[in-house]
Amino acid sequence: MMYEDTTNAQYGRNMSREKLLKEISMISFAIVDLTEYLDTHSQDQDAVAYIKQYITIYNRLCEEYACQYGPLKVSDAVYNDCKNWKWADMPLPWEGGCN
Amino acid sequence: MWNYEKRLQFPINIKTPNAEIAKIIISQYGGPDGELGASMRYLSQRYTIPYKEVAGLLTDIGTEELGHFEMVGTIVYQLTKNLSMEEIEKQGFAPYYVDHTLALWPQAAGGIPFNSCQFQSKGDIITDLFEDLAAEQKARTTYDNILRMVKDPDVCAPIRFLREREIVHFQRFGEALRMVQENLDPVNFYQYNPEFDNRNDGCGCGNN
Repeated sequence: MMYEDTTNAQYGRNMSREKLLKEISMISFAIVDLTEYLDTHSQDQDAVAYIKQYITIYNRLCEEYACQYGPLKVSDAVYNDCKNWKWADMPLPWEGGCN
Repeated sequence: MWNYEKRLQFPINIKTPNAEIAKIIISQYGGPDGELGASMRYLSQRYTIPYKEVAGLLTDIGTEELGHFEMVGTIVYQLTKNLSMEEIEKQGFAPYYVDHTLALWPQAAGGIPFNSCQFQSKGDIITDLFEDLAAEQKARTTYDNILRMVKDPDVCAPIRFLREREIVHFQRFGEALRMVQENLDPVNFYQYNPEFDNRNDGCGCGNN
């Protein structure tokens, strides 16, 4: 998996909703897997560098998703300027479609 | 504490309902080797573990299992969504339907309800880590069994993902066990129980 343009602040901006969510899922999965790996390999500096890079990308993509489509987590609600409380209106994960 | 994200760990979009398969897969929701038991096992065991890396690992894996619990629930939900009364009866879903309609309820494929006797929280770190290693393998076998029966690629993809996670968690628990054993008496791992004999009374075996 290569993310050459991830340092670009525009990263994720032109992605469709589906593509952006898929990207968030992949990055988030890498974070989950690395978190568990680091629980038993806390001295692995390469893994530490990887997870920090992925967390940065994850935060940026979540912010982008919240701006465009609404927050995936309550703490991202600040990025959405919709007048209504968008969190309550987000699609439920088990309903399929864009999940 | 926990935070919720309104998305699944792995995407699930099942286009064809199938109550027969739902009846089988529900075992990973609330069955003996299911995700609910996995999560409750790790999240219960962690409190008394005196090694913070291991307690942290149990927390992180127990948290991921909650996400898997949601994934399995989603699979069952989508497999039974919009079923007609006729389909419910024809696909053998009537015994479940009569008690739960189409709601999710943690049970095994054979109808046995979820019960905390399906897992152990023993208060002895060696015992518990072996329990956890076995749990991951039992869940892996269950997913292998499910994959032999399921043909729908929309169902197979998330099940394969869940199966792979069992293997990764088995690896992590093996590493945790090694870390624990390195901290114990190398001559006799059972000399004392670090979850109980952790006070200033020597080996804790009553001899000093």
